[in-house]
Amino acid sequence: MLAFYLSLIDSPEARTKFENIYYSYRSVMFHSANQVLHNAHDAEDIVADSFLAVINILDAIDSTDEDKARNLMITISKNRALNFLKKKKRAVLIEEEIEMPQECDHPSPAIDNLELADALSKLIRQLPSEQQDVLRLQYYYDYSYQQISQLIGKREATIRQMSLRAKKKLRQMLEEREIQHG
Amino acid sequence: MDKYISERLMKAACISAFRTEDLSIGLPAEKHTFSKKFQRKMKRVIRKADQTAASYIPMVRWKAVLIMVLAVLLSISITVMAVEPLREGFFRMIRSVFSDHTELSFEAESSISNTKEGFQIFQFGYIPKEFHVVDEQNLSEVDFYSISYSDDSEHSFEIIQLLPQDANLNIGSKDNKYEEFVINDMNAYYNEDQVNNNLVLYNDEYVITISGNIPKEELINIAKSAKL
Repeated sequence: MLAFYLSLIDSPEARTKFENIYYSYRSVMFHSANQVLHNAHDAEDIVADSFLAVINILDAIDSTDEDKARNLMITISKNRALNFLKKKKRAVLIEEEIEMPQECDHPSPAIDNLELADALSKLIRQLPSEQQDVLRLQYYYDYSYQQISQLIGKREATIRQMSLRAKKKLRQMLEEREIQHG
Repeated sequence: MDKYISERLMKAACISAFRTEDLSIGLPAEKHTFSKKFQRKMKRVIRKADQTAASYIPMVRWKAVLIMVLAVLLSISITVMAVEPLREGFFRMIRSVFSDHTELSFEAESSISNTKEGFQIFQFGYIPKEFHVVDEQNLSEVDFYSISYSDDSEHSFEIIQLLPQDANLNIGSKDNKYEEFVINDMNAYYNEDQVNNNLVLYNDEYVITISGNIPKEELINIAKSAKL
């Protein structure tokens, strides 16, 4: 099977890089998908789809940091598994056409210090798993909405909404925290 | 209080939140052996992906190649047909290549003309024994001469002589034997149909046909004996 993946990659360096990623993380990707789906067959399909997605943005993947690369591959396969599960259960996800906030419109009191960054990081871990994943891919891995869309198989607009919702939620959580702490 | 969270702060917070995490915690540690069914499915998936990605490009290439080939063929055709020596060579090649399979139309060109003054009739030094003249037409006003011979066994042959510009001879070689050679410095075509054996001699001045239900060798012997 690896040969088929490799046939899609042009340069020898990219092939080596993909080969490393494939052999290193395919099992953990399978287990993360299987943990969501509880179905080995479906989980294998998710792994295959994930690798096809990875090929598209192979240049943008940093495979030198093993922990970071492993977490990325797990994030991809887990999110793809969640997407698959939602479709399988025919769960109709009504994506609310929320008004896109202007991210830099009126930057009233910016929170820009390390103390708040630390507080914010703790709040991030309290967000729903899928929102955490989008923030992880967006800010930790520095992927664009388009790249995230390719990786986890959601529409770009959906990714954008999830990111904005997560930040809106974080703002609310920060406000509540300030009220609690005076 | 409406708080704005800058991109810089979000990045710092996310690095802090995700830097030390290990998402593999809680996942089974053993290696998974992927099924053959899965591998077969992957072949189909990747093949389909390949075809989808590649299907458009070959169409574009096909069209480009087709247009280029047509353009080259058109250029060659124009060149060949415009230059007389090339044109003649081309027709000779066609006759040679397709001689056994095509209906060859031999039509003398109007540019070929009788260069000698007057219509001179060929004399044939050899006529097979027991053949005698049964008909002769000398239409010198229209540059046409014919003579027919027959024997007592229903064998006959006819010799026709005319000018190239008046000749329009179709030699059917589709299902019949066809040969090309030279006799007495004249080009010669030989073919056989269901009724007759036919020999056509021609040069720039005359076209002579000798045809009848007599053997090929006799036709050639008659042709070889032709003299002005």
